[in-house]
Amino acid sequence: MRNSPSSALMMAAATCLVQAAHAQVGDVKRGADVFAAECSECHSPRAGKNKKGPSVYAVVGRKAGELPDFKYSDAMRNSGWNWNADTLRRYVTQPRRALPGGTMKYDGLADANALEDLLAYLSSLK
Amino acid sequence: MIAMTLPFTLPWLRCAMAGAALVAATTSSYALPSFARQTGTECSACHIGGVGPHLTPHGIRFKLTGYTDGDKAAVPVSAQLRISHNELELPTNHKANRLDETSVYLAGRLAPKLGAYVKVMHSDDPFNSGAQRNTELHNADVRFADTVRLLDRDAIWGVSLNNNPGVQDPLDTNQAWGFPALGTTGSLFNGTTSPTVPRRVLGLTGYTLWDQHWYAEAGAYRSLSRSLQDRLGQDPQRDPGHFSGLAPYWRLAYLHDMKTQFFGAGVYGMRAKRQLAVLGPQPLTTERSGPSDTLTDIGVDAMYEYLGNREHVVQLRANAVHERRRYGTTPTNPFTGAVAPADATVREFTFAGTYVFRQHYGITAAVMRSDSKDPVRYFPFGRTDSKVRYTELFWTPFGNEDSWAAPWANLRLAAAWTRFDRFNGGTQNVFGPFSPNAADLDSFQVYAQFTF
Repeated sequence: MRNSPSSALMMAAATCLVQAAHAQVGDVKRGADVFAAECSECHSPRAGKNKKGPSVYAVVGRKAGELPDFKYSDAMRNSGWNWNADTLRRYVTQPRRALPGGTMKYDGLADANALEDLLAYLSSLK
Repeated sequence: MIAMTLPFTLPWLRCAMAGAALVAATTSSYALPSFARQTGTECSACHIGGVGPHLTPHGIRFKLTGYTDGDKAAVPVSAQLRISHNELELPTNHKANRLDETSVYLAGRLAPKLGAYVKVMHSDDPFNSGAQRNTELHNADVRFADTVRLLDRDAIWGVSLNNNPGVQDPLDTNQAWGFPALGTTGSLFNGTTSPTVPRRVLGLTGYTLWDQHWYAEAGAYRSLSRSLQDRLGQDPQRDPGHFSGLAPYWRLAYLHDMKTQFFGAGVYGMRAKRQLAVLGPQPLTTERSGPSDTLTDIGVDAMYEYLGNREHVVQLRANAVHERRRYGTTPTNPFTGAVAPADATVREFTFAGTYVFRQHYGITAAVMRSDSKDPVRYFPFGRTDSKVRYTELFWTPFGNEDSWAAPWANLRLAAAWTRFDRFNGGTQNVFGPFSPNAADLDSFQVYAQFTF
């Protein structure tokens, strides 16, 4: 049986919707893998464990630059950011552009799906 | 008078056995807790399997930035102990347990842009070419590094003062960090054959990594005097000879970090005109008054790492060196009358792969090959064709972020087998009639290495 042009169009639209939904709802397990590959050398998911970068435990909802036992850049400490999905997405995508004067040595995560997975994982750390 | 390159005597056998023991030594250690204390980062972030020397992309960057990254207050000193059980077929099925290495490292940031990796090693090795118990300045790399913007891209640049050509390299494929091509003659980069360049020279090189991909380095080395080699714990009988002027070294490489994978490949080379000491009437003379040989080495290497989410990690390393020799003399075989050629080539090739599960359990397998042809210099087969296989199973119970007593407690337990398929051009009677077979050089080692 051959699909009609309209049914093919509907399938394509449905596929786009599924992909869009997928892009917006990250997967925690995949996000853990993204974290391991992209972030874990400098950040720990454990509470109180600061490496070259601060611990990301319970980062969502935290005020940027507020961990008392980590030495932040002036730019981060004075950013006035609160870490939520929007600020994390903007910062992780292009750290240098998002925060001139920041010291995080990372080029950014360009893959939108991986970024959403990472945000889902970071949100789960609490 | 016979130049020391003419290996007519049984020191070959001693060198072969020392080489067998050296394999394990050259493939261990170097993940130093002082680095971890300085960066706050676990050993496995920089090293495949949580123990060096094999580097992840993160470790490569740490090295190129001069061992200075991190802002934790830490004394740049580490120490290491290694105990082992060794079994060798020669001599007479030798078996021994010993504390075979006690080392102290100066490792880490010395000043804001100045760092060091310097190892002083005390070893207990009955097959060492010098004293059984010996203290030596092992690999040393002191470097200044900085990062600038160049052509709208980041560029790391630095200078390295070191004692082993290649020890400063970002890839650990070469013989300074990888596997030496065990044989009876070797290239300028081979630390197991005699004469021996590594750790008997001092070099200064400048390097840059531009746009995270393109690595270039150039510099030069001078040979140390025999007396200084002796004072630094190096056996002067393995003197690389007096370098005429400076021996230039160069390196070009391309690196590509894909976070879950890494690839690097490049070319490198060195050229030296050396004047060796000579074997004269007893006692052994120590003058570097022998003929001058000109050696030109070119190497090609490549490395691939699959890192994924760090649960399954694979690293593959390949390295090939081609050395062209122009000898300053052409000795004659006193029995056959044959005259040695004035030109020769030495080829070395090593391939190694490592797999690590969950940063703790691993296996390494390697093949080392070397060859050179010369009907007069190489007795009895007229060539040095050697093929050696190495297998190691290891367990590093610590070294991860959540490990017990991290980053102070570091332990590696391993069992290693070295198999000689061919040596010195043959498989049987490899040093002449009634002498051992290649397989008689096989060895087995179990060791525990503590670093703190």
